[in-house]
This record gives sequence, structure tokens and C-alpha cells, in this order.
Amino acid sequence: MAPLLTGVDLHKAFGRTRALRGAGLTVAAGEIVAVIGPSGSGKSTLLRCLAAIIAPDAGEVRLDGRRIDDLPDRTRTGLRRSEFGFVFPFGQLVPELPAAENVALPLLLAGAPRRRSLAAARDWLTRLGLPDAADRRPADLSGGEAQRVALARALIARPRVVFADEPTGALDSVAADQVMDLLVDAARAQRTGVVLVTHEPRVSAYADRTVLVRDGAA
Amino acid sequence: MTGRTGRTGRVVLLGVRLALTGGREAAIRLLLTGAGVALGVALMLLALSAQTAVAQRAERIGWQDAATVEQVPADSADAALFLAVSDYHDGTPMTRAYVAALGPEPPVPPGLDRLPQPGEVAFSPGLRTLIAAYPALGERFPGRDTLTITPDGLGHTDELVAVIGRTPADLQAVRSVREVHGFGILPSGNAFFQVYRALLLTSAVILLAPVVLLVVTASRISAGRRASRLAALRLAGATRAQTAVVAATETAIGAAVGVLLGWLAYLVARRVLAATFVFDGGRLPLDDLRVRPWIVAAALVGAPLLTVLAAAWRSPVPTGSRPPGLGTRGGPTAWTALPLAAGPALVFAGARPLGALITVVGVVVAGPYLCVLAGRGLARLSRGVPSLIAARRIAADPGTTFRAVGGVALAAWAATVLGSTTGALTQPSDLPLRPGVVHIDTGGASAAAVAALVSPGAVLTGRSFRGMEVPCADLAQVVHVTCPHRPDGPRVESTPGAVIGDLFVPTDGTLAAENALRTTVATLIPNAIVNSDRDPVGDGFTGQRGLALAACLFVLVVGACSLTAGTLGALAERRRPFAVLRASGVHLGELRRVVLLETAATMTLTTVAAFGAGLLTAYAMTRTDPAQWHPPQPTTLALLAAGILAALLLAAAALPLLGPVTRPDSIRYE
Ligand SMILES: Nc1ncnc2c1ncn2[C@@H]1O[C@H](COP(=O)(O)OP(=O)(O)OP(=O)(O)O)[C@@H](O)[C@H]1O
Ligand SMILES: [Mg+2]
Repeated sequence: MAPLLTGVDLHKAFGRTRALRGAGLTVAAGEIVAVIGPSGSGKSTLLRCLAAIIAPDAGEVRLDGRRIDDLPDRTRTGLRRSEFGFVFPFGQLVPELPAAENVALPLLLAGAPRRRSLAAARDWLTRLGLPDAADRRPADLSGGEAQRVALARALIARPRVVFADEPTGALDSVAADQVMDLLVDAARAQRTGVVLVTHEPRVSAYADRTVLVRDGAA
Repeated sequence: MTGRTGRTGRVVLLGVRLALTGGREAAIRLLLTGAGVALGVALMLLALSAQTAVAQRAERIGWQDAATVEQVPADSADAALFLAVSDYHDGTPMTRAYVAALGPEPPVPPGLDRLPQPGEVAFSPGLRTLIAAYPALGERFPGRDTLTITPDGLGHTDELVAVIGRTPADLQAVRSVREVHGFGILPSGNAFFQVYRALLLTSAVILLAPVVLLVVTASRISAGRRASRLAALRLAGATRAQTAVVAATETAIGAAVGVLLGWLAYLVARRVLAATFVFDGGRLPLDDLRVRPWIVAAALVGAPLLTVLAAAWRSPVPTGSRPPGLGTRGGPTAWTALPLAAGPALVFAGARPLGALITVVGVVVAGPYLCVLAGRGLARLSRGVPSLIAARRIAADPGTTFRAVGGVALAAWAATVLGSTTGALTQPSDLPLRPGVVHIDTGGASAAAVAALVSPGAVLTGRSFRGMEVPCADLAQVVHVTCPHRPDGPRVESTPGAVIGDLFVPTDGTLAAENALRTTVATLIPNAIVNSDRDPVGDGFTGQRGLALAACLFVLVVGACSLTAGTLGALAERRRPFAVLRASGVHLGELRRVVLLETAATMTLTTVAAFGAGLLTAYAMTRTDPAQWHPPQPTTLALLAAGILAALLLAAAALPLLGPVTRPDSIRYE
């Protein structure tokens, strides 16, 4: 399988904290890779480097074989928008927008017509078991519902890679299973690569492959 | 009982600790609350003491109007003949009064212990000094200098006043002389000061409104953060009342510091005001610039109370992570625009200060609804994501949005009202004098009486119900006028019996020549009013335009502070979702556009509405005196636009913070 995204020998320090010391990771299309490790080991930092949110101090990140870690900030932002999707543990929905508009954001940002984007968002919400959530604001959703809305937003623009940092971190196990099932199904169906950061074995069990990070190295 | 007080004490202490050690955000909130309250308190006290000073002055110089005010209470057994005429020296106003006792016990004006006898003159110290410097001036006040007018009868210590004693026979022949029975003029009888006090009161209201908005905005900055902190307290077992106490304590600390600073600022500011501010020709004495102690006490207690109430109003009663104001209430309805319409109507009906007050309140009450309209318009006009988010944000919490832009809207309202009512007062008269020409309003003297004043080149006018009667070509010799001009009439014959209205006398333009002519006029026609191009236009309202401008500027600056505080607060509250959006590939520019669009759309609509309300208020206020109505000039409009632009720029100054605050690598999962 040709690698979709690779990170090689990544280093990153925050002041005197050396968060990454030669970590690396490869994801293929449709593959789900879990990144596990103790707290403070550098999992989230690795994810941010791979997702071109921050630039590593050393090492390289390639998407489809092209380097992306050394691109200018603006280009990286555009790349995240068009190629990646993100799920964070909580609080990522724009509180003033109803669920459907939150989901439709990536399409709208890409310049798609409003009506078509919202229709697609409603489809996704239905697919994720939230047919009635479209007009509700994030504050009126439960934690599990909000995470499913976030998942829909991460997937709607058919990204190449979805980065999920503790996507179930704020959920109970039933809701967590529900979110993970949906993520895995959608990734398989769309052949989306998934980088899944978690410290719960129960969640990492959904992955095709598990990478252990310890003291900033993987 | 002691146990309960002790517990409350501990909760208060907790509030104190949270406020003082709550990090940078708490510090900023404390600072903004304090600054807002300080500004409000200082301003209110200053406005009130200015009003006291004006009233005091009105009471002291009311006697000068004894001949023109109808119902003067009698305070003496006998009467006196009296006339006060305004005069000028080199543009400085001067009052020349004539008096003749009609019995042994005539009324005596304040500042004198008796009336000057025929042949005696009472001088104010300022005038006496002036005559020492210009001895020729003395001839205008014939008589022995025997009496001094004390400050009790002077508007300010430098005022130029003379009271000339005459025999009743002298004065009986003079037009406009009145028999008076007292000089105890009540300020309420003085129309000018009444209008001025109403204006002062109105301006105090206008100035205070944006300050209140600023205080509320400041104390509600990042109310969301506080809400979550209080939620944590409640989870830890604190009762609703206890969390309320914690919240109130935090605000009260800021307000208490603010009140103290405001009080100190007021003490300094009233000295500065007394030293620098010239009102109607003279400084306001420091002793007059004061407020009654109970008002001070009320302000010092009331301001923090108001602040705490404002902060607690719709206060976060924490239920969860719900951002404040989201989906908790139905939006504002069109009904909220009612006071905005009712205010000007009240002004029309004659209740000026009340009407103005209600209009200001109306702008504030209707503001959120106007913001909702602006949001809808934004959503309709533009399809982009930034405008979508901006529109939704406005709709979600129009109250907060309005508090941010409301100050600027109030500034627009105030500028419009002031610009449309007082502008006329400082406009040059429509017939400006040519250089060196002296204008004499003879008050209807005969041609024989003015014969001695007619020099070569002098122009006489008659007077009829149509105004001046004079050929335009003649008039053009002495004033700047383009012919044909409306008051065009027959040349006035200088036959002895003809009644003269105005007399224009050319001089060589020197002060000495002007003074000599004034003295001659005063001798021949004591009631004539003489003006030259040295005299200030819009007599009595000198400096008012500057005052109005300063007031508008102040409101604008306070409004801009609200705007910045509001923008900062909005940023602090939306930090996390914005950071996530950036991580997901939303450009910083797009987030900036969200903030700018939100501000610009709501500010434009509320400002336009405030401008309309201002025009209406100004029109209504000047209805009884249409001469004061003055539709805004292009310069006023340009100034207004520039001010709004400046406010927007100031708000934009907060935008560079958007970058660091929403840095996607700073998303923490606390
Ligand atoms: N923006 C930052 N500034 C300073 N230090 C940072 C920053 N981000 C991470 N660190 C530090 O880098 C180290 C690794 O952090 P990281 O968030 O990657 O750990 P993690 O494995 O995700 O931990 P957890 O499981 O608790 O989320 C930690 O010591 C952390 O304090
Ligand atoms: Mg982490």
C-alpha cells in the first residue's frame, strides 16, 4: 500500500521541553492508525506536526510524497482546509451556528453553494444518527451528539486524512463506541486515512495499527 | 447567626481572592470595570457641579435683567428707574447700567450696599482696572467713582460692570428704562440660563449613557469564563446565592476602586475646569463648582451598586457550558423600538430633558433589535462564511453585540443633536460688517438724536415690520452683502422727525476710534447697542461649539472604548472554537472578517438610526426657537463619518490579538 502521509524523525521542542525526539508515523489511504502513549509523551504534538498545524524543528512530513512541513503558513492553512479533517475532544463547534451549518462549514469555505452544502450536511447528520439535530445549537446538544456533529464536519469535504485527538475523551463508553463505529465506517467507505490519538485501549482497538509514543519517540 | 455571617464572609473573601488572583483576564476585567466606573463618577459629579456653578452665576447677575424680566418680586418700599445695556471693549462684553432712585428706600442690586447717587458711579474691579489702562474709557461712565461692585453681584471676578447714578429726570427721557421694585431675579426667570441648564442636564445624560454602556460591557467581559468558573463552584457545593456573592464581590472590587479614582479625578478635574474653562466671558469660580454632599454620597454609593446590578443582570446562573445568552430567550422584538419613537415625541410636547432622556434610553433599548436587523441584512447581502458566522453571532446574542457598538451610536446621536441645535449660534450673522464699520442699533431714535453721529459714509436704515429699510447699494457700502438683497427699501430721509433703526458708521478701524464712537453713542443714546467686528458673534454662547465638540469627542472616545472592550470580550469568549477553526484550515483573515463584519454591520445600522433620532430630537428641541435649528452641514457629517471610522479603526486595533489568541497550536484540553 502506497503511504498517504508519512512523518519521519520528527523533533519539536517547546522551550526546554523536548516534546518530540525522533517520532515518525505512516498512514495509508483507508488505514486507521492509533497513537497511544502516556500523558505528556508527545502524542498531540506529533498529531499537530503531521497535520501541518505546527512546523517541526527537524524531520519531515510528506503527503502523497510531497513535503508539507516546510510550506509557508498560508499554504499549510489551505492544505488543512482542503485535505484534512479534524476532531477534537470538545468545544470545537461554533456555538452560534446550528449543527447543520457547523457541519457545512468546510463546504461553504470551499465556495460551494449554500443550499447544496446544507443539504449535504443534513445527509451526514442523518447518516450519523442525528436527523433532528440540524437546527439545534451546540449548547443544546449532548456531548456525544456534539462529537458526532464534529465528526460529520471532519468528514463532509471528503478529506484525505482525518486527525482525531482524543475524539471520545469527554464521552462515556456507549457514546464513545458509537462515535468510533461511525468514524471507522466512514473512513473505510471514503478511503480516508485516520490518525487517532487516544490513551484508551478500548478506542485504540478500533485501529488497524497502533503506534506507541514514549518520551517523544515512536 | 455568627456562623452564617462568618460563612458569608468567607464566600466574600473567596470572591476577593478570585478577583485578585484570577490571572490576566480577571485583571483586565477589574481594570475595565474600575476605569469605566471612575469615568462615570467623575463625569457625573463634574456635570452636576458645572450646573451648580451656572445656577450660582445666574443668581448673582440676574439683577442685570431687572428691566427686561416681567415679574420681579418687590423687595423695597420705593422703586427705581433702571436700564442695563450691553457694551463691549475690544470684543469683551461689558454691562453699563443706569439707575435713579425714586424714593429714599429704593431696591439695591446684589454686590452694592446702596444705589449710586446722581453723579456717582459704581464699578466692578475689572472695569476699574480697564479704565486705568484706557483712561478715555472713563468718559463713557460720567461721575465720581465712589462705589465698588463686590463679587456677590458679578458673574465672575473679572466681569466688566458699571452702575451709573442718574436723576429720575435724566432717565425718564431714555427709551427702554423701566421702573423696578426689586433686583432679586430668580434664575428661573432667566430664559437664557433656563435653556442652558436644560442643555447641561441633557448633556450630562448624553455623556453618562455611553459610560454606563462601557461599565456594563467591561464588567461582563468574558462573562462566559466567569460562568464556567462559577459552575465549578456550584459543582463543588456552593449555593446559588453564594456564587452570586462571589460574582458580585468581584465586580464590587472593581467598582469600589473606580469610585475612589473617579472621586479623585473629579477633585482634580474641577480645579482644572475652574482654571481653564471660560464660560460666557469668565471663569467659573472653584467655590461655585461643587455639588451638594448628599449627591456626592449618592454617587459614591450608587455607582458601585449600579455596576454590581448591571453585572448581575442576566448574570450567569451557571447550568453548564452554555455560553451566556445563547438560546435562553426569545430575541428582541420590534416593540423595543417604541421608546426611540416616543422620546422625540415627548420633546415635541415640551418635556425636553425627559424626552432627550427617553430617546437615549430608546437608542439603548432598541439597539439589540437593530442589531438583529443588521444581522439579517448581512446574511441576506453576503453569502460568504465570515458573514454567515457574523450574522449568526449577532442573532445569537444581540445584546452583547449592541453593548459593543452602542457607545458609538450614542456618540452619533449626541453629535447630531448638538451639531443641529447650536451650530446656528456660532454662524456668522448673515450681514457681516465691513472692516472698521461700527453698527449702532438705535432702538428707534429720531434722526435729530443721531444727527451728531452721522459722519461721511454713514448709512442710515429705517425699520419696519419687514426689517431694515435701506437701498441695498447703500447697505453694501458698510456690510458684506450681495445685491439684490431681500430687505431692500427706500433711502431713509434724515429729516429730524424720521425714526432711525440702524446706523452704520465707518471708522478708521482702530480700537481708539471704536471706543470714542461708543462713548459718544452712550452719551447721546444710552440705550443704543453698539457692535463692531471685534465683538464675538453669537453673544452669550461663545465657546459652546467647542464645548459641544468636546462632548461629542468624549462620547466617541468612550464609545470606542466600549467597542474595544466588547471586541476583546468576544474574542476571549470565542477563543477555542476560533482556534479549532484555524486548525481546520480557516485563514486568519476570514476570522478577522467575522469580527469586522459583525462590528461594521451593527454599527452602521445603529449609528444611522441614532443619527435619525438625533435629527428628530434636535428638530423637536428647537421647535420653540427655530433660529436654533440648524440642519447638519457637510462638515458636521464629515466629522461624524470620520469619528465613526476612527472608532472602527480603534476596534480594528484589537484585531492583531486575534492571531495569537486563536493560535491553532494553543488548543488545550483543560
Ligand atoms: N504549546 C506548547 N507549549 C509548551 N509546551 C507544550 C506545548 N504543547 C505541548 N507541550 C509540552 O510538550 C509535552 C508533550 O505534550 P503533548 O500535548 O504532545 O502530550 P500528550 O502525549 O498529548 O499528552 P496527553 O495524553 O496528556 O494529551 C508536554 O510536556 C507538554 O507540556
Ligand atoms: Mg494530548
